[in-house]
Amino acid sequence: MSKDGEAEPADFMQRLIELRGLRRAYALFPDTVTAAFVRGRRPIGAFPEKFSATTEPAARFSAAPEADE
Amino acid sequence: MTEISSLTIAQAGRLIAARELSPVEYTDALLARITALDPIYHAFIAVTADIARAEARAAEAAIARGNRRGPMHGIPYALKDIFDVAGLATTCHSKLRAGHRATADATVVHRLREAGAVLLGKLSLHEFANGGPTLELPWPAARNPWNTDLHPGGSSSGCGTAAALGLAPATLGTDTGGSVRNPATCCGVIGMKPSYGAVSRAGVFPLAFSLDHVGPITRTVEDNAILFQTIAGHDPADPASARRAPADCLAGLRQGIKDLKIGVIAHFYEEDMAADPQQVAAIADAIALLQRLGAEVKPVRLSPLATWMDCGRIIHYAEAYAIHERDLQERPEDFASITRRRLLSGAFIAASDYVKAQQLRTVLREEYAAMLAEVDALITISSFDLPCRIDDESEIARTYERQCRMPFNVAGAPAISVPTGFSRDGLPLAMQITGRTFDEAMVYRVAWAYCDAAGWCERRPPIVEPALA
Repeated sequence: MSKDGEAEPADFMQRLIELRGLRRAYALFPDTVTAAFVRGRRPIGAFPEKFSATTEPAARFSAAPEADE
Repeated sequence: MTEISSLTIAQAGRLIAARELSPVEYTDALLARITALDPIYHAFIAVTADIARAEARAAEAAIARGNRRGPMHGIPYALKDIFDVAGLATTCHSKLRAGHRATADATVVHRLREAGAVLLGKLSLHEFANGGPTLELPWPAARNPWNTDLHPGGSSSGCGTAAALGLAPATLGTDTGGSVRNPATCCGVIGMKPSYGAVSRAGVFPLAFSLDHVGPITRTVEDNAILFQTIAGHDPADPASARRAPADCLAGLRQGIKDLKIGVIAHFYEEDMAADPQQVAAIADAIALLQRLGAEVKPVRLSPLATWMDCGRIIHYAEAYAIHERDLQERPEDFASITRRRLLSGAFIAASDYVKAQQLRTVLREEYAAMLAEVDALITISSFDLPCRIDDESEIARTYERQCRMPFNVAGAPAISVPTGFSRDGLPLAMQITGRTFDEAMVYRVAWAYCDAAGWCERRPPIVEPALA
């Protein structure tokens, strides 16, 4: 499903399967890959009020490999 | 003396220190019990009898010389087969790991060796800690010790089974979305997921780097704290390892909980998702007991359970797929179907969703920390359902996300599963106690007080008799 809840077109799924190198998996297990596509495309249902996409991400980059927290 | 397989780590440690229990005899007794019971319960993938006997002899000799190293010296333990032990295969319960041999010990294994513990073997799990019980794998799935037709929980399934049956007093599992606490819940034992970074994951096969935790599963809270203290502490080999000394979880264990403030996240299981009434009733009884013990208990609210679960699900699937991508592309048929289904979802997660999930995690972690500034500990449900049949794939799939454990992986906070009683059919019920990040001592303190008063940890599963004949 897309973010607005509408079904994503089948050719989009096929293109994504190709791009992800999963042609063999799809040929062997089409139902599993299709179900995984639906499950994987399910977005976060609801965000807390104070959430903003400009929030600093949890995984911070540090230039110092052994830097203390 | 208590039957040898029923000894707790604390009891056995005291007897060993007093030279009233021989580590060699203790180890031999447990190996005999494994030989008798494991063909029915399938907790073990590999039994390391030669290693165990050699380590037990070494422990006995050292203690006889007056060189007892601590509470784990001479104590047998077993590992989910996802931890590296030099010279042994780390199978991850998967066909894909055929021929593997570890070249070094995982850090926690090294720490247990240094503590003089005795390795009994490697335990069954869900494939790569991510699948479910299935007949498609090279080793059978572990069975629930309370009813062998049922799922023992996972993914550290063999840990729960072995601990409950008294096959090993100490077991180590891993927990990415509940995989230590789920088998503890289903098997009626104690499972602790410590704070993120409290225990090294170096030498442990990863599932999702930013959610993975190593945690002990034992029969008692005190044993769990002993094992946690043995393995906790900074490890430069794990990039996420916290640079702090581990908390002393034993000194204050028996302090009691009088005047502690305990929050109950009831909306998780009363509003956000419907739970089995027996689980809910058992938590209500537990709350009443905590109040009788002197705690001040009050309801609290966090973001809805679905928000925590979505956040964890996206991070989990995306990171797990990154690890298994090549095998899913080149040899998908070598995974069990249940593992393949779960892992493939990660292939289709948008990068923006993963980034937003990590951002959301920061917000949720802060929300959790703010709540723990007001109370000393939290309690909530663990599983919404009772263990289902081990061969019921649709029920296993349905109940996979019907749990309340992932929020504490997202928060990186310590969370322990403790038994709260038994269902009408004799199956274990459980709740979680959680606390401030790196405050395992408080979580153990509340858990000890509750379990000591409730007495559920005393109950043992009915052993299938032919196995002992």
